[in-house]
Amino acid sequence: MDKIRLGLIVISIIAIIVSFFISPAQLVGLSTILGSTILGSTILGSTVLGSTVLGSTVMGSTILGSTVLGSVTLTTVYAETYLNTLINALYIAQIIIAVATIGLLIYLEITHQSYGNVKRKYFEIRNALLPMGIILALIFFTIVTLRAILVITG
Amino acid sequence: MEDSSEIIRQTLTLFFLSLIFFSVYYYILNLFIPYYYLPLHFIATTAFTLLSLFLILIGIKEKTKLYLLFISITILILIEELLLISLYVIYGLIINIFLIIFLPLFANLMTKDERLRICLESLALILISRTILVAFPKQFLFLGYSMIIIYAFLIIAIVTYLYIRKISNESIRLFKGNSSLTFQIILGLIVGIGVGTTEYFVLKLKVVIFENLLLVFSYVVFVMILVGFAEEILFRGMLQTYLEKLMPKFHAIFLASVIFGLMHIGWLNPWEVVLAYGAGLIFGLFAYYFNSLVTPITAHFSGNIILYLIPVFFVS
Repeated sequence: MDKIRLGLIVISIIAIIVSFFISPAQLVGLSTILGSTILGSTILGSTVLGSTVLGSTVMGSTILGSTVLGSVTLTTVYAETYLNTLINALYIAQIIIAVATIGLLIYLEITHQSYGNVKRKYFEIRNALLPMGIILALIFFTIVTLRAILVITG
Repeated sequence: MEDSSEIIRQTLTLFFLSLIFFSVYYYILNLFIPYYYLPLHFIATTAFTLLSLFLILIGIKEKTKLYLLFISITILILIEELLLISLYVIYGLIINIFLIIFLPLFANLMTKDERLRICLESLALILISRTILVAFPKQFLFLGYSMIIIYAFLIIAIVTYLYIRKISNESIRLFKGNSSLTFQIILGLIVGIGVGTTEYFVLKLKVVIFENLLLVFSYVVFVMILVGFAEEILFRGMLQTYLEKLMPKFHAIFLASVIFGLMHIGWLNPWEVVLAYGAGLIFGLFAYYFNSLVTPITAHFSGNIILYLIPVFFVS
């Protein structure tokens, strides 16, 4: 493995280790759906709230106030509902990933040449699925490990 | 060999056309829908993406199937990203997982063209950045370090992919390129400061203060290095570079930037999508011009550092 890739892997591992020393706090995510979650519940909420105060005091406009207030309620309710939906969706997606990964791993295993000759087409499919199969297996392994840690630690 | 200045001119023309159309459209839309109302974001982002894709389609005479394939995938990614921030988030995740498995399969079975295969597989890798989130328990979603772990995982996934497919660093422009390293880094820093400051005024981030400044700094640096490398290798290094081998250069830069913009839908701000798209074009032009990712990576991570450090030092 060349130096750049090795360096990236090392930085990634150090970053994961360092992350355990960072005190738990919210921070807006970057180009992830995590960003939208926290944006919806904190940043956007507080910005809108700022506008409400502006609307009712400085501007003194009932129309502006009610429009923004309506948006505040919508944003807050949406953020709360969204969070619950997201958490449920993540559980379902974990099951889908688990099933897909187990299926992929079985396929990758039985089409391995050590079990004898494999039809060319099956081998091509194996070759196509190999990288994503490994990456999904990595995610699956993380799901199982974290689940185990949560169960052990209660 | 296409002329560099012509490519820059074509790319910027496309960008300014879409920006002007979008600004007028958004202004009219804003007259009828309140700014913070979520459907505004949905409608505006969808319209902007379709408009950008339409601009690419104008004047296409050859390789129609290839363009239709990428435009269809881009629209699927748009739907997936919009679903992920909607209450139908599960359908977004299902499309995501489906594409991750289907795109490489399709690429390998339907075509023997390695360039197309790597393009489609890099799109699948881009989507992996969403799937990684699924691996973690709900408590994790609200923690400061979640971003570090997600991007560290993504880097590991990218390196694993490059290793398995035996893709060299040179072929994804992960090397010095054809210009001075110092010049590229300085240029990247200047562009990054500009992009980061603009992004701050678009998003107006409010950062939660950590217990000590050293942790803030290490967090910001780690996240930004990881984000800069991961996203630039994926969008400019893999997707754009291999698209350039399939279609005119400015179309490749344009398409990669549209998809890059789409991945910023989660910010719930249509102007952030437009900004990311514009930044993607600039980074893409640098990647093409210098034949290297040095400037885009430097600009990306310095831009992100500025974006996060402005609120830490000047706002909070």
